[in-house]
Amino acid sequence: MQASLHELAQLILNGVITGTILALTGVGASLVFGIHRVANFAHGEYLTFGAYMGLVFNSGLGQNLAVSALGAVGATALLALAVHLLVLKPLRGRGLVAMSLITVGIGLMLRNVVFMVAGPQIRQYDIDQSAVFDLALVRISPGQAVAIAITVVVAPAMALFLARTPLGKSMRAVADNRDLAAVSGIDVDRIGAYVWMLAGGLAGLGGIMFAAVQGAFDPNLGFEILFLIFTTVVLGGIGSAYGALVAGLVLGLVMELSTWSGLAGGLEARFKPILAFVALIGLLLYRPQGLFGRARVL
Amino acid sequence: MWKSFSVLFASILVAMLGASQPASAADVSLTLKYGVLAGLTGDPAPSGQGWNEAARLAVDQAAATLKSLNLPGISVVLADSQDSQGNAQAGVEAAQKLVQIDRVNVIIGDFYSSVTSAAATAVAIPNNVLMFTGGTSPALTKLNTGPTPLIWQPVAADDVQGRVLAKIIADALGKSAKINVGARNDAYGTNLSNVFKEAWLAGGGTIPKFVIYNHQQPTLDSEAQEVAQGDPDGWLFIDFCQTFEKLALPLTRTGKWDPAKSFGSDTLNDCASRGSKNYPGMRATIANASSGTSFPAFRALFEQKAKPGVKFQAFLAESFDSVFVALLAALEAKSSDPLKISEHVVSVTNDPGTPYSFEQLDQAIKDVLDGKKVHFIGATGPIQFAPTGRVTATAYDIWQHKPDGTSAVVSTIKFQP
Repeated sequence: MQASLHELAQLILNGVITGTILALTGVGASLVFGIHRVANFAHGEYLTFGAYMGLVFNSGLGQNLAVSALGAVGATALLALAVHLLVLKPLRGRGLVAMSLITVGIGLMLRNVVFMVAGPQIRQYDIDQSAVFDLALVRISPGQAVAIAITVVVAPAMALFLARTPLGKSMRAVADNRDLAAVSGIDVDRIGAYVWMLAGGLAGLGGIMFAAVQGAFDPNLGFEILFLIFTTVVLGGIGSAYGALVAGLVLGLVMELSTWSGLAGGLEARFKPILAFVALIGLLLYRPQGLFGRARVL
Repeated sequence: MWKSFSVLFASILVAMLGASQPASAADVSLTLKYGVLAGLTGDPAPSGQGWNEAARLAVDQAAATLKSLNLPGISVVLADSQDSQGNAQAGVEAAQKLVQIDRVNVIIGDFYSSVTSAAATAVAIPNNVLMFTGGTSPALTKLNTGPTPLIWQPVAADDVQGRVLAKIIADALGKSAKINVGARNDAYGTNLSNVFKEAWLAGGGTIPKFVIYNHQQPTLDSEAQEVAQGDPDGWLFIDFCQTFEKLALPLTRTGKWDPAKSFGSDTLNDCASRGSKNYPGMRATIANASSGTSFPAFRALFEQKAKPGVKFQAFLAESFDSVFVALLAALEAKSSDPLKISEHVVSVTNDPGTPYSFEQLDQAIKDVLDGKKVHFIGATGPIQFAPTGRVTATAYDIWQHKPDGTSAVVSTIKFQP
């Protein structure tokens, strides 16, 4: 019984961490879709870029993980803005499919650039990966502790930013109805650029969290999580920032808890990702607009 | 009239004498085109780059030897090296390029069973092209359904390895030990883990946790938790170094895992040499690819001439040897036709025959061209291909990760399947 409780607590913790990464990265992807009508398949590579920028600051420049995270967020935000200004904005209006395919190409290019520059070998941040904090019910690594700290600060801050600040409200307004927002006096182009920066920054943060939690990472890091990010976006309701926040957490928890042995023996670990997609299909059958989306958005 | 008859008689006599003589260099004219199929980017790159370099060095060595023997009619070419990315779909596309554009006769690779299987089925077998794979799945040589095999496996297959693992774990922890198994969810992981499971249970052991995990999961914490449960006496892991690292760190965090009681498949013998990390005490077994007397010479050649930054690994000898086997078989067949080469692979890798390694390649080539029988001894060992496409020499090295982060062979066992 005690062992089962330990297992459950650990799974909840793991689920919250994975879920938070999905939630934060999903918010950016969702807002980008809502505002620019682009399914950004390069989003996973932004995570990879963020993780490697974190490595540059952490291992290369000897900064601690907090400073490295800030550096990674800034660098990835600039990357996202640059890609928007140099590639995606000039090509705007080519249609959802064409624009999304362009992002596939950008993603491939970014991944291979990381491969070329950083090499294929696995990397680690300069933190003690073998250290463990034993907190009675759960055991967490320094990387997980950092992820939890970031979660506690960033997730509510993100929610507050979107709910209370003029910029956050403008972003949601443009995502909700671009034309209506424009006639209401919102500079949709400027908001669009800010959204790319926000999405990039959150992806960079997700990348560094993901790399710290995994302990070791390589240039495939973002690609491995890309489809889960999109599952989060669709589950939460395309274009809905709050939806992505909730859906990410739900997805992370559902996937981890499904393997709990106290739940009829638990699901085999290899079926976790399948469960995510089954949950998505099931939800969409009954609520096509996702958890928080409006039917007309689709 | 008499003069014409004499000339005709002499011509016929010369022709008959010629026919009864062994092939001479002048009789053989061929160009053997090789292509390399390996993961040159992504996860498999640390091994793939080495695999490619080993093949390139062998082709260079063969070309230099042919030149020194003044055999202008015979040439070997490394036509292209294609990146499979360790992925079946990309592997098929890469193999198509090698076969349809580069027109290679022999493909060296891939060392991923999943890639080899896809490329063999979709490209090599339909186009009658030889493949020398580094993949260890027993299913690979079963793809050979024609009269002569096209898929050759210069390393012992996993159905042997699974039983070897059961034996060495039984020797170390006892036949009735409780062993938890963690294996990646692909053809390699599931096949090998199932062979082990069958052998282990048949020997009287138990497996409290048998966890097949998706190595491409973002995190493997819950998988690690599951593998650590059940109070086992030891563990067996079947994975590649890059992805095993993702499992090993959360395993360490469980506080229940002991690397010194852990065993790994052939791919985990020395992760430090593949850009990853070793776990002191952990053991792994790998088909002996270094028992050939020429192995040190191969290693020296590699370290001297391979591209800077490409690390040496013992299994690269398979790629290296395959080039020479194909060449000698082609010379014996006097053809670069893959089907004809295939008919001679067994002949040049088995007794009877004068044993030669790559260090005596010039003499081996001369003998083959003179119609004499040779037995090519690879850097990997005696090779001894069977007509099924598999090797019959089955020695296994047991590696152990050392406290200083390196890994070394601690013993070698002979295994009779």
